[in-house]
Amino acid sequence: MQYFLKQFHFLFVIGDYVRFTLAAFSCFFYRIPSWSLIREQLYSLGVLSLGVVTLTGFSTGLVLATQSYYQLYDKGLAGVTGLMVAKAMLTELGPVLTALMFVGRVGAAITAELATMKVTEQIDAMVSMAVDPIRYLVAPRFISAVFMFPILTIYSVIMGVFGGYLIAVYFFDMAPTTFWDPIPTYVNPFDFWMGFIKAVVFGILIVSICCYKGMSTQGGAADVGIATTRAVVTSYVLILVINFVLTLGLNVLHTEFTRWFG
Amino acid sequence: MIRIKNLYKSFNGNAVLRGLNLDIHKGELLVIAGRSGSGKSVLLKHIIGLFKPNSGEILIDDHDMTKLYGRAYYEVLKSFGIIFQGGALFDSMTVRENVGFYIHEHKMRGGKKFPLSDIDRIVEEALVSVGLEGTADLYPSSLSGGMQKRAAIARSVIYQPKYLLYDEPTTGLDPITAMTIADLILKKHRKLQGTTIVVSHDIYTMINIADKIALHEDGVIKVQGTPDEFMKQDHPSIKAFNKVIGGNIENIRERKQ
Repeated sequence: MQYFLKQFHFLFVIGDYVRFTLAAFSCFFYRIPSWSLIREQLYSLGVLSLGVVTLTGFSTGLVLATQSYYQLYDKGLAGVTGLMVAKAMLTELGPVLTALMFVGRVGAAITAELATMKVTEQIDAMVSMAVDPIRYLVAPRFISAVFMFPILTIYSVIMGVFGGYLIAVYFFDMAPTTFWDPIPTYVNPFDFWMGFIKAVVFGILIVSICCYKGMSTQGGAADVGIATTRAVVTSYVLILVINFVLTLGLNVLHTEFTRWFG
Repeated sequence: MIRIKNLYKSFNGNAVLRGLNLDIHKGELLVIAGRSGSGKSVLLKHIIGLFKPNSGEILIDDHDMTKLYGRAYYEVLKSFGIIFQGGALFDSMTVRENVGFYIHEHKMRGGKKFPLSDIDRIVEEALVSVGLEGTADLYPSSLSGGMQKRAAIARSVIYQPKYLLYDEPTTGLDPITAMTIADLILKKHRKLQGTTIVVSHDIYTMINIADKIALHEDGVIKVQGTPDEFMKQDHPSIKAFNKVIGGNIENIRERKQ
């Protein structure tokens, strides 16, 4: 029995995590935290991340356009550079790279802050004053991340396409119409939904893992460090895995759907 | 009143509480004494439900704290105040926000409605009453250890809880500061007329403030009684206490009870 418990301990952790996440989500529908708490988090999770997201999106766009151009122009395909950038940013690089940056910029901070509050008994103090820390601390972060992360992703995609446009037009002397024209024809709503669904899933994933790791920390300063590292690594791994699952799954679904109904 | 019945708790097979029984009557100031690491703080955290026991009951005015969850649990907690060992002030908030936290969240004080417009005035009053005037806009990190403890006391007493719990209030302070904190605990207890539980291993605090002392050892309450009765008991730990104070309780008594 002891052996069994040890081997399958991770099942308890997963169960605990799911219960935690559901409890946080229940605050979306009733017991909504006060607006001032949400506003504070919207600012620190969203607005303060703009710089890092701008940099990520813009530089990815630059690199993507440069690579595409050099790979394609000797085959006479330089005209699809803009399309390459737009599609790649929208379906793949926008959500994934923004998620990775978001984990480092926001996720780590959430875990470290909550874990510190936990080990210095601030969370216990909050409970003892009959204030539910899930509602007061976790829910505002959940709500902000779930709303802000897709917005940041869209913003990063726009920055990427903008970067690609700049390099294509001003460095490779491409005509602006050559860059833009294929985009409305070949970028379809499915590409947008692909990116958007990924962004929503990643947003929920990051904030739930980082809050959970922070709130379940026990011990001292060293444990805060361990919790933060684990939160970041777990988020990274799950982002990569779930990204693959979503890419394959959504594409298969879409193909089947168009075959039957399209 | 608080009635603890047959409380068992073990962590990873290591039993900390082994069938502990304790009654705490209304209006009493009880000091729970015992060695560091004997599980006194664990007992305190059981009383407010932060830990759930393996078995046993904790009755708080007929609510069993060990079986309460969700809204009912938080409802019972509203009549509790606890001062943690390190103060546990919220370090992202100023002293003013810390002290006003409960009233700001619940809009209540001493079980009655309280208007938020009055909050600044009573926060200021609470700070003056613990000797911290003029610190309202500072952050906890810029206060000394003793001041943090005072601020934590202010944060709890401001909402006039029925039950006030102190976890090692004088540990880590110099003897003089410790004595003033002990005085403050007694002053607040008399003013609020509630029930106070102090966990401490500081003999000076115990003798000078307690109505009753309970010795916690090996996971149970071994001895309890008024300070005078307590010090006369024949028990190895109490003999050790007696040695420290030179065999006579009057040596360290500061005032008549």
